[in-house]
Amino acid sequence: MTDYRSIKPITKNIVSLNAPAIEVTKTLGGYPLYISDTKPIGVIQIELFWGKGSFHQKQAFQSSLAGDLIFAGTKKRKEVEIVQFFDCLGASHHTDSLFMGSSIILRCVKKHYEKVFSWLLENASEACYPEQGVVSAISVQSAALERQQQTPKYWASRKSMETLYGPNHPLTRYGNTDDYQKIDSTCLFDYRREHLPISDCMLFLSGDIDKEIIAKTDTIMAHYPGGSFSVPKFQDCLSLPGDNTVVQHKVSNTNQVSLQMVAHVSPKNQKEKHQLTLLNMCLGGYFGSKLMQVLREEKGLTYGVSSYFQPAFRDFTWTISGEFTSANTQESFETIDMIFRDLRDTVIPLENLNKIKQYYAGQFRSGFDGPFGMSSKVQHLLYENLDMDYFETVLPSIWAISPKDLNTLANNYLHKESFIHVLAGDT
Amino acid sequence: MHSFKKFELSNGLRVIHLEDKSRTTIVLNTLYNVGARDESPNRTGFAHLFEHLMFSGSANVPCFDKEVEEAGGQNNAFTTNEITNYHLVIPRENIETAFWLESDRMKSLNMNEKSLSVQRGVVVEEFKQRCFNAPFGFLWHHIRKLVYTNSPYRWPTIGEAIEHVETANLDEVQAFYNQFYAPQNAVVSIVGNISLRQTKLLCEKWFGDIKKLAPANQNNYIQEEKIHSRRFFESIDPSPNPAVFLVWKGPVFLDPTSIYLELFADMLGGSDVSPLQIELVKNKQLLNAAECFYLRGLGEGLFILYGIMNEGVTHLTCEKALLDVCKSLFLPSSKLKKSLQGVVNRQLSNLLFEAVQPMQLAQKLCYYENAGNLEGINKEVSQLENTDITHILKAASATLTDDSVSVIYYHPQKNDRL
Repeated sequence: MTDYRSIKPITKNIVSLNAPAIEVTKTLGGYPLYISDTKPIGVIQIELFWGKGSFHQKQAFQSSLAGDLIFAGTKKRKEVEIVQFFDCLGASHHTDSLFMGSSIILRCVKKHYEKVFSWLLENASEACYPEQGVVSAISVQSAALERQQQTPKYWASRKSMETLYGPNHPLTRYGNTDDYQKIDSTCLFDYRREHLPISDCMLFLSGDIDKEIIAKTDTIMAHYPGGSFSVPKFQDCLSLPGDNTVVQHKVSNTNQVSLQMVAHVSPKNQKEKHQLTLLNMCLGGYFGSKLMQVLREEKGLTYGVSSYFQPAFRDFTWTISGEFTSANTQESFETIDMIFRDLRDTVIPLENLNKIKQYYAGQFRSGFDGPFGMSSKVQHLLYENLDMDYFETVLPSIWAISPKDLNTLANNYLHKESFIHVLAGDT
Repeated sequence: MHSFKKFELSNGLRVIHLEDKSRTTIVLNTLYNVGARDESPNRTGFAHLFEHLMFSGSANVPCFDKEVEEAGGQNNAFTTNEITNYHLVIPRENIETAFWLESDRMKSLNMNEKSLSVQRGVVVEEFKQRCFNAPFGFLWHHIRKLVYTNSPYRWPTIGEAIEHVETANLDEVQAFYNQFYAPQNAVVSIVGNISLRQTKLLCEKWFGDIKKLAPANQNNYIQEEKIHSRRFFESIDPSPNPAVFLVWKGPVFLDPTSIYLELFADMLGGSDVSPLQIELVKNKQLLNAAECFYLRGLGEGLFILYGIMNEGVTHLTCEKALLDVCKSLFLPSSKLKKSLQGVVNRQLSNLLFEAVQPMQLAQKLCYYENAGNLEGINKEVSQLENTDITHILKAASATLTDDSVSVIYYHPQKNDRL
């Protein structure tokens, strides 16, 4: 008799999303507002999002510190008073600063929403960055940067981007510890006033949202006339050619080398973006990828190696990254080159491609699960300037990609000489 | 309140089910009652190495990850000193694949020289990455060695020495599997869009025929005496900043007072305006980082308080300042009561957010069941609400004493990494 365990259960393909329709509305005062699918869970998340980020800063760390210190004090109140108010009501908040976007995210229990959200707006709109708070934050963050600079990975990432785009490019404004000394209250205040006024934000509400909460939001926002949110505006991005450049950066007393390979990629259209997504997955985008399977699971040369796309305006920086024992670096490079050749010379079997599609589809769909999943997705639409029905088109586009499509793409993009190679550590 | 249901199979496997119809996915979480504390002193890092081997295929599944990916799911695992936890998140239409995979490696893991050799290499690279190439990379080695002298808690999960992993052989691996990877030593939780009926059917079908192997892990290990005099260790580290770490032993997870220490840690350093931040980082500017937390384990409790110093601050000044701020909270005041209310509210709010995160919930259900107190998960709210400031201060002042502290001074190594 056949053991039933030897027969693999039938799996169904994830071919469609069927997410709720996306509709961006407005508050009575004209603020763009997205409300995600609501659930009676007793908690609320509200996110204020601006289409401005580190791209708009005049000096390193200006954007992130302007966000981090948004509750460090106003002319009326000290940081202790502002933060304790949130703390006492069990509310938590954090700020995010991206290249072309910034957010303040607030989470609280439903019964305190009105008080907490009003408090947030009042203090964020009047943040004046008291000198003592700035000095202390600079001391904390510059020490953290110093510690980061002890790791080979930090230098591999930094040197690869600086080599690819040049040291003065907006994508490579890394900043050093002495750049923190140039930050003061005035420059943070100027950044907030210019780029993070409440009038320019968009609102994302999720969690336990009902009519009452929406009405309260309208009332609170009425104190802040505005509604001038604009989506991020991207310019063309220029990079330097790869030319098989190899950069070595010595980091003493390390046992490993951090390896990064980077290339600038400008997809021709949305279709090619989807194809590149799958090609990247095949290369190093998930555990079953060739990089992970060969370098980790077959050869045991690394704990982790991966490939991914970093946003570069409307384009991407294709990045391969991993940590290897110094003696294994050459073998790792050769293996990566062999994988490139293999993807160029061999058409990926349909069965393998379907596995990648199915994995992608499963992860894509689960990203919409839960009360807070949808908000970040809608933000992505706005950030990338995509149509509101874009997400419903993704899975059909992914399933339509053929093995030949990926092979053609591999021949266009995957050449070691197109990538800049950086080694940092005990080189 | 989480409305979960628990049942047990005849082979001793405990299963907890919690339905959430709003999801497109299901989490299948499996916790094994085995961790670094179950290792032999000359084979440390073994539980973690074994976690890696669990992905090397089983009798009917040549490649575990490939099958998960083909079903559109994802998976991962982690090991602590006490447990090893595996999770699978899978689209609801393909849930049977998750049961097939998880049960097959529980029943008949396929171990061989090749997979052992590869995973030894991977774990050695992980050791190097985590310990040699990161600031304070050997912190847990130092803490555990200082606080414990005989108990198996004296080494960290990654292993005491890289050689222990490098020399692990197949016989040892097989013995480890036989001893710990059996249904009566595991808890499974299923959280997501699946009914109780279907869960029971699938559990019986896939896990029901797995035989009990060895008796369940009784967690018999050397219990250590309390620390009665200050312990001290100095280390040189590639980190550019000097630091002081203060560690105390405290009550374990099932001891109700352990939650008081968790709350005390939150009051002391859990917010941007907590005393630790305000006094030492912002006002006096002695430190560029300060934190404290309570590690609330099944067989150990560790209260950790540390500061990373600014230039010119001595270790002695830092240690004294950390202790002074900590002790300043020992006396009840109206300010402290207010602070406690904030901390409790924050934790209550966190519990509500946690309730809508299936993976966290699935892991927590297994953890509580493995600790022998599944119902405890539904008592967290009332426990928090009934906490009085006097309970907290009593627990903190009894635990955080001068003569039971273990102190580590970190000195920066002169280096040219920058």
